[in-house]
Amino acid sequence: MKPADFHILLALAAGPRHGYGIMKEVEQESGGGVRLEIGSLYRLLGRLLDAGLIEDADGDERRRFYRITRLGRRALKAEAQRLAGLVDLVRARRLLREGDA
Amino acid sequence: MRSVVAWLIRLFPARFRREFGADMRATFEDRWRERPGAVAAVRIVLDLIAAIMSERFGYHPPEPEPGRKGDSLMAVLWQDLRFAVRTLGRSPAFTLVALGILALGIGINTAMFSIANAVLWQSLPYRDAGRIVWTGEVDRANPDNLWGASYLNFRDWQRRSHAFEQLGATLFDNRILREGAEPTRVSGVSVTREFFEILGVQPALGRAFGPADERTSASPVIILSDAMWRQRFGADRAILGRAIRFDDGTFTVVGVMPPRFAYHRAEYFMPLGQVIDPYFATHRSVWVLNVIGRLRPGETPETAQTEVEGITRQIRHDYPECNRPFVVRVIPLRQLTGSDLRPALLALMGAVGVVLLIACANLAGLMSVRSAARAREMAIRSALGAASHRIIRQLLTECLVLAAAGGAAGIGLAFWATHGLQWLSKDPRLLAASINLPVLLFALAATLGTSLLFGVAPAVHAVHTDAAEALKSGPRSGGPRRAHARQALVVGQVALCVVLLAAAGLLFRSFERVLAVDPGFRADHLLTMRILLPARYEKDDAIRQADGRFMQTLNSLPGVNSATMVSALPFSGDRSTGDLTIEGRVSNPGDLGAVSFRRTMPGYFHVMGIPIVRGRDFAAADDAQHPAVTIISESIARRFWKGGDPIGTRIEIGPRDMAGWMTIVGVAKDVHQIGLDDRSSLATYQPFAQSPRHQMEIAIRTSGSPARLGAAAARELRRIEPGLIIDQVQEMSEKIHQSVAPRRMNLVLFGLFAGVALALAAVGLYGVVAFAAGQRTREFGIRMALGARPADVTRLVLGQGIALALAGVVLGMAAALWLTRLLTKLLFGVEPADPVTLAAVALVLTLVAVTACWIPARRATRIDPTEALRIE
Repeated sequence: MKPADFHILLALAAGPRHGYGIMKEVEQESGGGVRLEIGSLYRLLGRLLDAGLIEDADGDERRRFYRITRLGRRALKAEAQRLAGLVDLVRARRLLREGDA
Repeated sequence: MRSVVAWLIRLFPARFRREFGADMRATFEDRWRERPGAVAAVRIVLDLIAAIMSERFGYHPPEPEPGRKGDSLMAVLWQDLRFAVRTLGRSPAFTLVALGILALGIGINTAMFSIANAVLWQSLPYRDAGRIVWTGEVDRANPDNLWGASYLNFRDWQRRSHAFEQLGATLFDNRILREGAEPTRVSGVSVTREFFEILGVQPALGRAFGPADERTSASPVIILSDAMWRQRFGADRAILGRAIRFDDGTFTVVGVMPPRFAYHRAEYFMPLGQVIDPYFATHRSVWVLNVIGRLRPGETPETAQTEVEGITRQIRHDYPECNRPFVVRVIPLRQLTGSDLRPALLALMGAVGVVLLIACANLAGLMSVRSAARAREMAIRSALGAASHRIIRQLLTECLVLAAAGGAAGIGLAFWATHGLQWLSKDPRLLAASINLPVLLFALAATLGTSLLFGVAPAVHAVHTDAAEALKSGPRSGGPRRAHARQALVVGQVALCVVLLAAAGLLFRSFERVLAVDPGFRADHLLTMRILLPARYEKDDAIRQADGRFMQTLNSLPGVNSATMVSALPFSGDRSTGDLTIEGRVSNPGDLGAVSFRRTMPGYFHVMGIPIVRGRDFAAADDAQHPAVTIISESIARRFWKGGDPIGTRIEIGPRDMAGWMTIVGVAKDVHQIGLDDRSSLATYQPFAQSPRHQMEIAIRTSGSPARLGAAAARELRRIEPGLIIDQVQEMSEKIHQSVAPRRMNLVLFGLFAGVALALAAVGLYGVVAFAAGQRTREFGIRMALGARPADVTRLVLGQGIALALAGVVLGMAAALWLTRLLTKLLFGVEPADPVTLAAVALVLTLVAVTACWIPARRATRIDPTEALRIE
């Protein structure tokens, strides 16, 4: 899973959001490391919708809201576990110290 | 911005747009409301473009096939392109600055080219225009002085030459149109019947002139220009056959020219044979005609010139009165139409070219700093297996994307700048400039050239960087080689900037010198206008009486100190001259050169404030009943009498069979008749009473502001003669102001370009010094920890910057000494190697350089040693 997809799913895990909400949340969560502008955001949303990882939620009259599906949650969890496993492995080989980066 | 985004969203595939279009706009609104700005705008636009490219041309990595190596070319290209747009979007501040510099450089170059192309190179809007030539005699000593041809010589050329398919003649013509409410002055051209075939046009309505129209006895006919037909006759298609009333007769309309046809802004065309002055038609020593011809295929201007020269030699032998120090020239019409603007336009093309070069150097510097900062990224990529040619291509693609966007913005800017130039100059020839195919090709070439110039060096450097070395040496490195390259770029920018500043400085000094020239009369509080009496004033006496009444009325007007009349005021553009003959001196016609002549009302010298330095002013008694008298200018006295006394000597002006002897009664101080920068002041004056004419110019010395008096004066004159035509009501100071307009325009443009160059060079210098200082943070920290004072560090940083600037100044001075010679034609009263200008330029650049280096130098002193040492 690509980091940007991961961040979007992570942002939606807390609850349904509209496009700009996702944009802000991702930027904040990644510490500014992932910045989505509308072009790339909607390309990713389109892909995630097609894959069934997210779906439409109730919106207001102006904006669409998106929420994570059960499949999305499972994918997110699996990816998080994979990443955590990787981090453990790296730590065990003493490539990273606690508190580094 | 909103509309830009809306437009971009429309470029997505329909399916995508239907699904997300509205929501994208809503999200954009939210985002833009909270955090707008130029940087954000660039980021959003580039991101959208990348997304559109992905969605629309969807690059999906091909399935690996057995036996196939690498990706297809197109796929790689798209990948590079998308990646480039993304990368640029990630550093929007850099992208914005680079785009701005590119747009500016390409924009002003394209605008300047569109003007120069229209005025100098684009072929004239006539059929097969390359074969149309001007043929005539020019001054041997000063070939820019075109004399033209006499009617009889033209007819001989026409009869005896074989190099031309057709040879025709034109003569400018002014008339009073008496159609409509008020009589108006219109200007056209009288032409021989070959005119239309030479230019390759026929009237859109009716017919051209034929042999029958050329006889003096033929019934008067006229062909209207499209503009005159529309404006004055409401585009009436039934106009053919209608008689149009002019002051001196009626002319029947036989044709109307097509809309796009233009010849010197002529409003109408008449057969030359009908309207030519009988004197012009019978004498060889009057050079009044413009002769144009269409060369036969295979003939060149040179071969035609040799032939016409031979014919003219024979004519001169047969008719010695037309011997002058002239030579025959056959000049392509294209070359002639923009010739007065050529020096300025070529100089300006050079100037904008230099600005573009500086912009390239500036961008190359920016790219180099940027790629130094990205050295680690490149190193990681090549360590991960990216082939070096892929990395080069990636960097070049970024440059191309930048240049393409900058070029597009530049063309937009050029569109706007061309209009600005047209408005600024007011020269009608500039109106032909437009952003057409050659101009677009030029912009494209400029863009490609630019991207190669600023993009290749950093790309090559990126590959030569040793990956292991780059990874080891921290994020902000570049290596000494690259630092040298950046320094060389800055020195180059400063040097080029010196050249432009020197040029602008020289033009400024010339302008100052021109304005400081004493015109030879008092130009303040002087109102001027031109009047034309109706043709029914036939007798000299009638004209004298009418003009006398005008003078009386004007002199009694409140606010008028004194008023006078002259056939042509200074700065009115009258350049007519006649051959000078001095009694008792043996000379052939034209040997003594030509002098101007002006008919003046009594009081002219007093009203204008022109001192009589010798002899007397004209008196009321100098009228038609008394011997003809004249006053000459000091220059004439100096040249032909060399300190002797000219008073009492008799002279003739003009063709000998026409002129009469006039006795010199006075010498007047020299006056600049054409412009403040004209060189010759060979002028003579005659009393108006001894040779009255219909058209005169009035000068009124006012006690208060002249501007307020114009309308009242015109009203009073019209009360006396309702048919009087009054125009060019203007203050003398305004006339002088207009006469220096081309100089002012050159100065403004050069100043503008030099300013841009200076700003770019300053930014370039700042960038390099700041970057170098940033790299030495650690070193400065150690120095300060070891006891260096802030002043020492300042000196280190400033010293490096100023050394670069000075190297640039020295190099630039050498280049300027060599290049400013090209400006000679635009200068006045100042040498191309003027030491004052060059010194001032050096000073200005050094000051700017110190300022540009001061900021990073100050910043370096604020380094906290402990902070600096901890960085790595």
